[in-house]
Amino acid sequence: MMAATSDQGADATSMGAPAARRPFPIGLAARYAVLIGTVLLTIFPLVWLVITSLRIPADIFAVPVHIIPASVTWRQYVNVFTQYNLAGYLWNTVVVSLATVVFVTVLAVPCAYAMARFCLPGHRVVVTLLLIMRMIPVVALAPGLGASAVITFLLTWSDLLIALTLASSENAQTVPVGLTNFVSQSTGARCRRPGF
Amino acid sequence: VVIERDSRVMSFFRWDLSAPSAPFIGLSNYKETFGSPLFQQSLRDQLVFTAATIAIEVSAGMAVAVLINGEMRGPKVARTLLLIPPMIAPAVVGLNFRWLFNSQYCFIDTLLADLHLPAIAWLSDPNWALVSIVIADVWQNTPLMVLLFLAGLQSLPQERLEAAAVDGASSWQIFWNITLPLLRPVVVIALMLRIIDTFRTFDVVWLMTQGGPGGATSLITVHAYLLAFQGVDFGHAAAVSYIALVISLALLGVLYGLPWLRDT
Repeated sequence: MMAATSDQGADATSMGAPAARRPFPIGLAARYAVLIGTVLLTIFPLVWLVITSLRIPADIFAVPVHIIPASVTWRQYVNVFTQYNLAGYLWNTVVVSLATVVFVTVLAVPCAYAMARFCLPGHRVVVTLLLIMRMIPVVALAPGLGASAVITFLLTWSDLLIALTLASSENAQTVPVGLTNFVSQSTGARCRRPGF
Repeated sequence: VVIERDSRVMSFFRWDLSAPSAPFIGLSNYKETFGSPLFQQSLRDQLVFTAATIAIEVSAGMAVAVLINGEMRGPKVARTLLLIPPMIAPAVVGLNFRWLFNSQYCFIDTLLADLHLPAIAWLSDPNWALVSIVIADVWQNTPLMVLLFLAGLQSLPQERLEAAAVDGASSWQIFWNITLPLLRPVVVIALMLRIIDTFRTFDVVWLMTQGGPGGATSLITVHAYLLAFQGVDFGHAAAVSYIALVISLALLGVLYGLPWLRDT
Protein backbone atom coordinates (compact mmCIF):
# COMPACT_ATOMS: atom_id res chain seq x y z
CA MET A 1 0.00 0.00 0.00
CA MET A 2 2.72 2.43 1.01
CA ALA A 3 4.84 1.48 -1.95
CA ALA A 4 1.98 2.00 -4.38
CA THR A 5 1.30 5.53 -3.10
CA SER A 6 4.89 6.62 -3.37
CA ASP A 7 5.10 5.09 -6.85
CA GLN A 8 2.14 7.16 -7.97
CA GLY A 9 3.73 10.28 -6.54
CA ALA A 10 6.97 9.59 -8.35
CA ASP A 11 5.07 9.02 -11.58
CA ALA A 12 3.26 12.33 -11.32
CA THR A 13 6.45 14.33 -10.84
CA SER A 14 8.34 12.51 -13.58
CA MET A 15 5.50 13.22 -16.01
CA GLY A 16 5.03 16.81 -14.90
CA ALA A 17 8.63 17.94 -14.70
CA PRO A 18 9.63 17.99 -18.39
CA ALA A 19 6.38 19.65 -19.44
CA ALA A 20 6.77 22.34 -16.79
CA ARG A 21 10.32 23.03 -17.83
CA ARG A 22 9.27 23.59 -21.42
CA PRO A 23 5.92 25.40 -21.60
CA PHE A 24 6.46 25.93 -25.34
CA PRO A 25 7.97 22.70 -26.58
CA ILE A 26 9.32 24.09 -29.82
CA GLY A 27 12.84 23.08 -30.64
CA LEU A 28 15.42 25.28 -29.01
CA ALA A 29 17.19 25.52 -32.35
CA ALA A 30 14.09 27.00 -33.96
CA ARG A 31 13.83 29.55 -31.20
CA TYR A 32 17.46 30.52 -31.65
CA ALA A 33 16.78 30.83 -35.37
CA VAL A 34 13.95 33.26 -34.63
CA LEU A 35 16.13 35.22 -32.22
CA ILE A 36 19.07 35.43 -34.60
CA GLY A 37 16.83 36.18 -37.57
CA THR A 38 15.12 39.03 -35.71
CA VAL A 39 18.42 40.50 -34.61
CA LEU A 40 19.87 40.23 -38.12
CA LEU A 41 16.84 41.92 -39.69
CA THR A 42 17.10 44.58 -37.02
CA ILE A 43 20.75 45.42 -37.44
CA PHE A 44 21.13 44.91 -41.20
CA PRO A 45 19.82 48.35 -42.25
CA LEU A 46 22.08 49.90 -39.61
CA VAL A 47 25.10 48.04 -40.89
CA TRP A 48 24.19 49.10 -44.41
CA LEU A 49 23.98 52.72 -43.24
CA VAL A 50 27.45 52.52 -41.72
CA ILE A 51 28.92 50.75 -44.77
CA THR A 52 27.43 53.37 -47.08
CA SER A 53 28.89 56.15 -44.96
CA LEU A 54 32.35 54.62 -45.39
CA ARG A 55 32.18 54.07 -49.15
CA ILE A 56 33.94 56.33 -51.60
CA PRO A 57 31.34 58.22 -53.70
CA ALA A 58 32.08 56.19 -56.83
CA ASP A 59 31.29 52.97 -54.95
CA ILE A 60 28.03 54.32 -53.56
CA PHE A 61 26.63 54.66 -57.06
CA ALA A 62 28.33 51.57 -58.47
CA VAL A 63 26.19 49.01 -60.29
CA PRO A 64 26.12 46.16 -59.34
CA VAL A 65 26.24 46.79 -55.63
CA HIS A 66 29.12 45.26 -53.68
CA ILE A 67 28.13 44.59 -50.12
CA ILE A 68 31.69 44.80 -48.80
CA PRO A 69 33.25 48.02 -50.07
CA ALA A 70 36.51 47.67 -51.98
CA SER A 71 37.96 50.78 -50.42
CA VAL A 72 36.99 52.66 -47.30
CA THR A 73 37.12 56.36 -46.58
CA TRP A 74 36.52 58.53 -43.53
CA ARG A 75 36.27 61.66 -45.63
CA GLN A 76 32.49 61.89 -45.42
CA TYR A 77 32.71 62.12 -41.65
CA VAL A 78 35.05 65.08 -42.02
CA ASN A 79 33.00 66.64 -44.81
CA VAL A 80 29.80 66.86 -42.79
CA PHE A 81 31.68 69.12 -40.40
CA THR A 82 33.60 71.15 -42.96
CA GLN A 83 31.17 71.39 -45.91
CA TYR A 84 27.93 71.23 -43.97
CA ASN A 85 27.37 72.91 -40.66
CA LEU A 86 26.96 69.70 -38.64
CA ALA A 87 28.51 71.19 -35.52
CA GLY A 88 25.87 73.92 -35.60
CA TYR A 89 23.06 71.39 -36.07
CA LEU A 90 24.41 69.29 -33.21
CA TRP A 91 24.69 72.30 -30.93
CA ASN A 92 21.10 73.36 -31.72
CA THR A 93 19.90 69.82 -31.04
CA VAL A 94 21.69 69.68 -27.72
CA VAL A 95 20.27 73.05 -26.65
CA VAL A 96 16.72 72.18 -27.69
CA SER A 97 16.88 68.71 -26.14
CA LEU A 98 18.35 69.85 -22.83
CA ALA A 99 15.95 72.77 -22.51
CA THR A 100 13.02 70.43 -23.23
CA VAL A 101 14.22 67.93 -20.66
CA VAL A 102 14.51 70.64 -18.02
CA PHE A 103 11.09 72.13 -18.72
CA VAL A 104 9.32 68.77 -19.07
CA THR A 105 10.82 67.51 -15.82
CA VAL A 106 10.05 70.71 -13.93
CA LEU A 107 6.46 70.65 -15.19
CA ALA A 108 5.88 66.91 -14.92
CA VAL A 109 7.19 66.26 -11.43
CA PRO A 110 4.65 68.46 -9.57
CA CYS A 111 1.90 67.04 -11.77
CA ALA A 112 2.93 63.48 -10.98
CA TYR A 113 3.14 64.34 -7.30
CA ALA A 114 -0.34 65.86 -7.31
CA MET A 115 -1.75 62.86 -9.15
CA ALA A 116 -0.16 60.48 -6.70
CA ARG A 117 -1.21 62.35 -3.55
CA PHE A 118 -4.71 63.61 -4.26
CA CYS A 119 -7.74 62.10 -5.95
CA LEU A 120 -8.78 64.86 -8.31
CA PRO A 121 -11.60 64.92 -10.88
CA GLY A 122 -10.42 63.31 -14.11
CA HIS A 123 -8.01 61.27 -12.07
CA ARG A 124 -8.66 58.09 -14.05
CA VAL A 125 -7.91 59.69 -17.40
CA VAL A 126 -4.64 61.16 -16.23
CA VAL A 127 -3.68 57.95 -14.47
CA THR A 128 -4.30 56.08 -17.72
CA LEU A 129 -1.97 58.46 -19.48
CA LEU A 130 0.57 58.09 -16.70
CA LEU A 131 0.27 54.34 -17.16
CA ILE A 132 1.50 54.77 -20.72
CA MET A 133 4.40 56.81 -19.42
CA ARG A 134 5.17 54.14 -16.90
CA MET A 135 5.22 51.42 -19.54
CA ILE A 136 8.04 53.07 -21.42
CA PRO A 137 10.55 52.91 -18.58
CA VAL A 138 9.72 49.20 -18.25
CA VAL A 139 10.96 48.83 -21.80
CA ALA A 140 14.05 50.85 -21.12
CA LEU A 141 14.55 48.70 -18.01
CA ALA A 142 15.31 51.76 -15.92
CA PRO A 143 12.24 53.21 -14.21
CA GLY A 144 12.00 56.61 -12.60
CA LEU A 145 12.81 60.21 -13.13
CA GLY A 146 16.09 59.56 -14.90
CA ALA A 147 14.39 57.35 -17.47
CA SER A 148 11.71 59.96 -18.13
CA ALA A 149 14.40 62.54 -18.71
CA VAL A 150 16.29 60.21 -21.03
CA ILE A 151 13.18 59.43 -23.05
CA THR A 152 12.24 63.07 -23.33
CA PHE A 153 15.76 63.81 -24.47
CA LEU A 154 15.65 61.07 -27.12
CA LEU A 155 12.25 62.13 -28.43
CA THR A 156 13.31 65.75 -28.65
CA TRP A 157 16.64 64.82 -30.14
CA SER A 158 15.01 62.98 -33.00
CA ASP A 159 12.01 65.21 -33.58
CA LEU A 160 11.72 66.51 -37.12
CA LEU A 161 8.22 67.88 -37.55
CA ILE A 162 8.28 70.59 -34.89
CA ALA A 163 11.84 71.59 -35.71
CA LEU A 164 11.11 71.67 -39.43
CA THR A 165 8.03 73.77 -38.86
CA LEU A 166 9.40 76.28 -36.38
CA ALA A 167 13.06 76.66 -37.30
CA SER A 168 13.08 78.72 -40.46
CA SER A 169 16.64 80.07 -40.23
CA GLU A 170 19.54 77.69 -40.56
CA ASN A 171 20.99 79.01 -37.32
CA ALA A 172 18.19 77.38 -35.38
CA GLN A 173 17.92 74.04 -37.18
CA THR A 174 18.48 70.71 -35.43
CA VAL A 175 20.17 67.58 -36.75
CA PRO A 176 17.04 65.93 -38.23
CA VAL A 177 16.30 69.14 -40.14
CA GLY A 178 19.90 69.33 -41.26
CA LEU A 179 19.66 65.74 -42.40
CA THR A 180 16.60 66.56 -44.47
CA ASN A 181 18.55 69.41 -46.01
CA PHE A 182 21.49 67.11 -46.84
CA VAL A 183 19.10 64.85 -48.70
CA SER A 184 17.56 67.60 -50.77
CA GLN A 185 20.98 69.14 -51.45
CA SER A 186 22.97 66.05 -52.38
CA THR A 187 21.19 62.73 -52.89
CA GLY A 188 17.93 64.48 -53.64
CA ALA A 189 19.24 65.45 -57.03
CA ARG A 190 20.04 61.84 -57.86
CA CYS A 191 17.19 60.03 -56.20
CA ARG A 192 13.76 60.14 -57.66
CA ARG A 193 12.04 63.06 -56.14
CA PRO A 194 8.44 62.06 -55.91
CA GLY A 195 6.20 64.72 -57.29
CA PHE A 196 3.19 65.75 -55.35
CA VAL B 1 -22.03 66.45 -43.58
CA VAL B 2 -21.89 67.08 -39.85
CA ILE B 3 -18.15 66.58 -39.81
CA GLU B 4 -17.77 68.90 -42.76
CA ARG B 5 -19.51 71.70 -40.93
CA ASP B 6 -17.50 70.98 -37.77
CA SER B 7 -14.20 71.08 -39.59
CA ARG B 8 -15.14 74.43 -41.07
CA VAL B 9 -15.98 75.72 -37.62
CA MET B 10 -12.66 74.46 -36.34
CA SER B 11 -10.68 75.84 -39.22
CA PHE B 12 -12.36 79.22 -38.85
CA PHE B 13 -11.67 79.11 -35.16
CA ARG B 14 -8.06 78.34 -35.80
CA TRP B 15 -7.81 80.88 -38.54
CA ASP B 16 -9.14 83.62 -36.26
CA LEU B 17 -6.75 82.69 -33.51
CA SER B 18 -3.62 82.75 -35.61
CA ALA B 19 -4.51 85.76 -37.73
CA PRO B 20 -2.99 88.44 -35.50
CA SER B 21 0.37 86.71 -35.20
CA ALA B 22 0.67 85.19 -38.67
CA PRO B 23 0.92 87.83 -41.37
CA PHE B 24 0.69 85.41 -44.32
CA ILE B 25 -2.60 83.93 -43.10
CA GLY B 26 -4.34 86.27 -45.49
CA LEU B 27 -3.14 84.07 -48.36
CA SER B 28 -5.23 81.24 -47.01
CA ASN B 29 -8.16 80.82 -49.33
CA TYR B 30 -9.68 77.56 -48.11
CA LYS B 31 -9.52 76.14 -51.59
CA GLU B 32 -9.30 72.69 -50.01
CA THR B 33 -12.45 71.56 -48.28
CA PHE B 34 -13.07 68.56 -46.12
CA GLY B 35 -14.62 66.74 -49.04
CA SER B 36 -11.52 67.26 -51.15
CA PRO B 37 -10.23 64.13 -52.88
CA LEU B 38 -6.76 64.88 -51.51
CA PHE B 39 -7.98 64.71 -47.95
CA GLN B 40 -9.99 61.55 -48.58
CA GLN B 41 -6.94 59.95 -50.12
CA SER B 42 -4.84 61.07 -47.17
CA LEU B 43 -7.33 59.56 -44.75
CA ARG B 44 -7.36 56.31 -46.68
CA ASP B 45 -3.54 56.22 -46.72
CA GLN B 46 -3.50 56.90 -43.00
CA LEU B 47 -5.98 54.17 -42.11
CA VAL B 48 -4.26 51.60 -44.33
CA PHE B 49 -0.90 52.58 -42.84
CA THR B 50 -2.21 52.43 -39.27
CA ALA B 51 -4.00 49.10 -39.74
CA ALA B 52 -1.12 47.44 -41.60
CA THR B 53 1.67 48.59 -39.30
CA ILE B 54 -0.20 47.80 -36.09
CA ALA B 55 -1.34 44.38 -37.30
CA ILE B 56 2.18 43.41 -38.38
CA GLU B 57 4.02 44.95 -35.46
CA VAL B 58 1.80 43.59 -32.71
CA SER B 59 1.45 40.07 -34.12
CA ALA B 60 5.09 39.76 -35.17
CA GLY B 61 6.24 41.31 -31.91
CA MET B 62 4.12 38.88 -29.93
CA ALA B 63 5.29 35.89 -31.95
CA VAL B 64 8.96 36.75 -31.58
CA ALA B 65 8.58 37.59 -27.89
CA VAL B 66 6.85 34.28 -27.12
CA LEU B 67 9.43 32.33 -29.09
CA ILE B 68 12.51 33.93 -27.58
CA ASN B 69 11.10 34.09 -24.05
CA GLY B 70 12.63 31.60 -21.65
CA GLU B 71 16.00 30.30 -20.74
CA MET B 72 18.14 31.13 -23.73
CA ARG B 73 21.66 32.38 -23.94
CA GLY B 74 22.18 35.73 -25.56
CA PRO B 75 18.84 37.52 -25.06
CA LYS B 76 20.59 40.32 -23.19
CA VAL B 77 22.73 41.12 -26.21
CA ALA B 78 19.66 40.70 -28.41
CA ARG B 79 17.64 43.02 -26.18
CA THR B 80 20.30 45.69 -26.42
CA LEU B 81 20.40 45.38 -30.20
CA LEU B 82 16.60 45.46 -30.40
CA LEU B 83 16.62 48.73 -28.48
CA ILE B 84 18.54 50.44 -31.26
CA PRO B 85 15.82 50.93 -33.93
CA PRO B 86 13.27 52.55 -31.61
CA MET B 87 15.97 54.92 -30.38
CA ILE B 88 17.15 56.08 -33.79
CA ALA B 89 15.81 59.37 -35.08
CA PRO B 90 12.95 58.60 -37.50
CA ALA B 91 14.57 60.96 -39.99
CA VAL B 92 17.60 58.67 -40.08
CA VAL B 93 15.33 55.67 -40.59
CA GLY B 94 13.59 57.44 -43.44
CA LEU B 95 16.87 58.40 -45.07
CA ASN B 96 18.26 54.90 -44.71
CA PHE B 97 15.20 53.17 -46.11
CA ARG B 98 14.95 55.64 -48.94
CA TRP B 99 18.46 54.58 -49.79
CA LEU B 100 17.75 50.86 -49.35
CA PHE B 101 14.72 51.12 -51.62
CA ASN B 102 16.57 53.11 -54.24
CA SER B 103 15.97 51.33 -57.50
CA GLN B 104 19.30 51.90 -59.15
CA TYR B 105 22.06 51.78 -56.62
CA CYS B 106 20.87 49.75 -53.80
CA PHE B 107 20.85 46.51 -52.03
CA ILE B 108 17.26 45.38 -52.19
CA ASP B 109 17.07 45.53 -55.96
CA THR B 110 20.37 43.72 -56.28
CA LEU B 111 18.98 41.05 -54.00
CA LEU B 112 15.77 40.76 -56.03
CA ALA B 113 17.81 40.48 -59.23
CA ASP B 114 19.98 37.76 -57.72
CA LEU B 115 16.85 35.84 -56.79
CA HIS B 116 15.56 36.32 -60.37
CA LEU B 117 12.60 38.30 -59.13
CA PRO B 118 11.30 41.27 -61.09
CA ALA B 119 12.53 44.66 -59.96
CA ILE B 120 10.09 46.70 -57.92
CA ALA B 121 9.73 50.44 -58.29
CA TRP B 122 9.54 50.79 -54.51
CA LEU B 123 9.16 54.50 -54.08
CA SER B 124 7.70 55.52 -57.44
CA ASP B 125 4.85 53.02 -57.66
CA PRO B 126 1.92 54.25 -55.53
CA ASN B 127 1.12 50.88 -53.95
CA TRP B 128 4.73 49.89 -53.35
CA ALA B 129 5.48 53.30 -51.88
CA LEU B 130 2.88 52.64 -49.21
CA VAL B 131 4.37 49.18 -48.67
CA SER B 132 7.81 50.79 -48.36
CA ILE B 133 6.83 53.17 -45.59
CA VAL B 134 5.01 50.33 -43.81
CA ILE B 135 8.20 48.26 -43.98
CA ALA B 136 10.27 51.13 -42.61
CA ASP B 137 7.81 51.68 -39.75
CA VAL B 138 7.62 47.96 -39.01
CA TRP B 139 11.39 47.81 -38.93
CA GLN B 140 11.61 50.66 -36.49
CA ASN B 141 8.78 49.72 -34.13
CA THR B 142 8.49 45.93 -34.07
CA PRO B 143 11.54 45.63 -31.75
CA LEU B 144 9.75 47.88 -29.28
CA MET B 145 6.74 45.55 -29.36
CA VAL B 146 9.03 42.55 -28.82
CA LEU B 147 10.59 44.21 -25.77
CA LEU B 148 7.21 45.27 -24.40
CA PHE B 149 5.77 41.77 -24.74
CA LEU B 150 8.94 40.17 -23.38
CA ALA B 151 8.71 42.34 -20.29
CA GLY B 152 5.06 41.36 -19.99
CA LEU B 153 5.79 37.66 -20.46
CA GLN B 154 8.46 37.71 -17.81
CA SER B 155 6.12 39.22 -15.25
CA LEU B 156 3.47 36.50 -15.74
CA PRO B 157 2.81 34.11 -12.85
CA GLN B 158 4.76 31.02 -13.82
CA GLU B 159 2.66 28.69 -11.63
CA ARG B 160 -0.39 28.96 -13.86
CA LEU B 161 1.60 28.24 -16.99
CA GLU B 162 3.26 25.28 -15.32
CA ALA B 163 -0.04 24.01 -13.96
CA ALA B 164 -1.54 24.11 -17.44
CA ALA B 165 1.49 22.31 -18.85
CA VAL B 166 1.17 19.65 -16.16
CA ASP B 167 -2.49 19.23 -17.06
CA GLY B 168 -1.42 18.44 -20.59
CA ALA B 169 -2.47 21.61 -22.39
CA SER B 170 -0.75 22.13 -25.73
CA SER B 171 1.52 25.13 -26.11
CA TRP B 172 -1.02 26.75 -28.43
CA GLN B 173 -3.78 26.26 -25.85
CA ILE B 174 -1.55 27.71 -23.14
CA PHE B 175 -0.77 30.73 -25.25
CA TRP B 176 -4.35 31.34 -26.35
CA ASN B 177 -6.12 30.66 -23.04
CA ILE B 178 -3.61 31.76 -20.41
CA THR B 179 -0.72 33.81 -21.74
CA LEU B 180 -2.67 36.11 -24.02
CA PRO B 181 -5.48 36.95 -21.53
CA LEU B 182 -2.87 37.65 -18.85
CA LEU B 183 -1.01 39.90 -21.28
CA ARG B 184 -4.08 42.02 -22.00
CA PRO B 185 -2.81 45.14 -20.20
CA VAL B 186 0.43 45.03 -22.16
CA VAL B 187 -1.41 44.47 -25.44
CA VAL B 188 -3.67 47.44 -24.71
CA ILE B 189 -0.67 49.64 -23.97
CA ALA B 190 1.04 48.45 -27.14
CA LEU B 191 -2.03 49.16 -29.27
CA MET B 192 -2.52 52.58 -27.69
CA LEU B 193 1.10 53.57 -28.18
CA ARG B 194 1.01 52.49 -31.80
CA ILE B 195 -2.32 54.14 -32.62
CA ILE B 196 -1.08 57.41 -31.16
CA ASP B 197 2.26 57.06 -32.93
CA THR B 198 0.96 56.14 -36.37
CA PHE B 199 -1.24 59.21 -36.39
CA ARG B 200 1.85 61.27 -35.66
CA THR B 201 4.18 59.58 -38.13
CA PHE B 202 5.85 62.20 -40.26
CA ASP B 203 9.63 62.03 -40.42
CA VAL B 204 10.01 58.63 -42.07
CA VAL B 205 7.43 59.41 -44.75
CA TRP B 206 8.77 62.88 -45.35
CA LEU B 207 12.30 61.59 -45.91
CA MET B 208 11.21 58.63 -48.04
CA THR B 209 8.44 59.91 -50.29
CA GLN B 210 7.28 63.35 -49.17
CA GLY B 211 3.77 61.99 -49.42
CA GLY B 212 4.10 60.93 -53.04
CA PRO B 213 3.90 59.56 -55.59
CA GLY B 214 0.66 61.28 -56.35
CA GLY B 215 -0.35 61.42 -52.69
CA ALA B 216 -0.10 57.64 -52.26
CA THR B 217 1.71 58.01 -48.96
CA SER B 218 0.37 61.34 -47.75
CA LEU B 219 -0.46 60.44 -44.19
CA ILE B 220 -2.52 62.94 -42.21
CA THR B 221 0.52 64.77 -40.86
CA VAL B 222 2.14 64.97 -44.28
CA HIS B 223 -1.09 66.23 -45.81
CA ALA B 224 -1.46 68.87 -43.11
CA TYR B 225 2.18 69.89 -43.47
CA LEU B 226 1.86 70.21 -47.24
CA LEU B 227 -1.36 72.17 -46.88
CA ALA B 228 0.21 74.51 -44.37
CA PHE B 229 3.62 75.04 -45.92
CA GLN B 230 3.07 74.43 -49.60
CA GLY B 231 -0.51 75.60 -49.90
CA VAL B 232 -0.11 78.22 -47.14
CA ASP B 233 -3.58 77.07 -46.11
CA PHE B 234 -3.22 77.13 -42.35
CA GLY B 235 -6.91 77.14 -41.63
CA HIS B 236 -7.46 73.92 -43.51
CA ALA B 237 -4.26 72.34 -42.23
CA ALA B 238 -5.48 72.97 -38.69
CA ALA B 239 -8.82 71.41 -39.53
CA VAL B 240 -7.11 68.32 -40.95
CA SER B 241 -5.03 68.02 -37.77
CA TYR B 242 -8.10 68.27 -35.56
CA ILE B 243 -9.94 65.64 -37.59
CA ALA B 244 -6.94 63.33 -37.27
CA LEU B 245 -6.88 63.89 -33.52
CA VAL B 246 -10.58 63.08 -33.22
CA ILE B 247 -10.16 59.91 -35.31
CA SER B 248 -7.26 58.64 -33.22
CA LEU B 249 -9.13 59.43 -30.01
CA ALA B 250 -12.15 57.57 -31.40
CA LEU B 251 -9.93 54.57 -32.15
CA LEU B 252 -8.65 54.67 -28.58
CA GLY B 253 -12.25 54.84 -27.40
CA VAL B 254 -13.15 51.81 -29.48
CA LEU B 255 -10.11 50.06 -28.03
CA TYR B 256 -11.41 50.69 -24.53
CA GLY B 257 -14.90 49.63 -25.48
CA LEU B 258 -13.91 46.21 -26.78
CA PRO B 259 -15.21 43.57 -24.35
CA TRP B 260 -11.99 41.60 -24.56
CA LEU B 261 -10.02 44.58 -23.37
CA ARG B 262 -12.48 46.18 -20.98
CA ASP B 263 -11.47 44.33 -17.81
CA THR B 264 -7.99 45.83 -17.79
